[in-house]
Amino acid sequence: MNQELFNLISEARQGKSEAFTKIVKLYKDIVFRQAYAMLHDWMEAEDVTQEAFLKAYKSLSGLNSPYAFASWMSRIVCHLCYNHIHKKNKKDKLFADEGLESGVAAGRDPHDIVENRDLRLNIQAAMGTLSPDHRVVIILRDVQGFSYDEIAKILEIPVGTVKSRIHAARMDLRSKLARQEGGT
Amino acid sequence: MNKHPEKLISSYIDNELTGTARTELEEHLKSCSKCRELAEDLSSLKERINNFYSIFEAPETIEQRIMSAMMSTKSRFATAGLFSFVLLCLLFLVPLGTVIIKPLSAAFKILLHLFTVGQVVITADPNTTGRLILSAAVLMLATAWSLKYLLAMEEVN
Repeated sequence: MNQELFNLISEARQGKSEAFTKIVKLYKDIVFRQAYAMLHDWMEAEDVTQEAFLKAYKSLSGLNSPYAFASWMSRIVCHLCYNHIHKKNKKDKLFADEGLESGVAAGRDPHDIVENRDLRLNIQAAMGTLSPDHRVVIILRDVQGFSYDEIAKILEIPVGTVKSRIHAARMDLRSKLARQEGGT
Repeated sequence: MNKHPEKLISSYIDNELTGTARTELEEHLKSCSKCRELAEDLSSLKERINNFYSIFEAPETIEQRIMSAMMSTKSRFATAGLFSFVLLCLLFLVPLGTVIIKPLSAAFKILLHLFTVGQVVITADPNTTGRLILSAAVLMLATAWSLKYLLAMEEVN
């Protein structure tokens, strides 16, 4: 964590909303990405992102150390996503194309986009078949880049469980992708 | 080491396998094409997942949405705070009022009775008013004289 972020978090904890605005700027993509990967729904991911930052703003005083902000924020997103999944008993579905295209980072090569469309259909479909418990560990590790220890703390589960879930989820994805790609 | 230590491969590609376990697995991968293939597949899968999700960015409007929601939460907090304050005041003042108002009312009644008694005493004796006026005049004269005496003493000093 750099000093600037540390200062921003400390200032936001003292109630300075300008500091929190800067934190939103820095973390919005990370938070949105996690929510989107969990829910596979553009609008719900937006709602979760908003809820997560509001929740963080209200309970920032409960953050033990500014250094733990990223994992603390990630835990909030996980809880919110689980709530959304639980409440709606949501079944994963394919992304709506318009929503997807509007979110893709601007300035990318059109070939990349076409290639990514195929890639995402496979990855997305395979990720959609995973249970939320398996999906979340893959997202925290492969998308967010947290260590096994950090994931264990975020999800409040033993490190051994993190290891076994990550491996089981990857094996599952591997076989599903092989079937998909073998069939096309 | 197991014949095919598949379960360790995920930890290995995530750099979460250390020490002897890592060295042993690396040795095993050199000689086992099945595990090597699995390690390559899982490593490629990890990269594909990362590449896939990394292209997504939050919509530009999200920042504004968050800030607006924050402001409305703040004003809701302020309203709720004011409401709670009024409610608390009512909750505390009502029982407090019953405690304070009773003795106040009793004291007021006593004063009222004293006033009535005084009135009765004054009206009962027709000379009372004259006596009171005389006493007041004497008191005023005595006050004026003592004031004059004090001023004279000040001048002497």
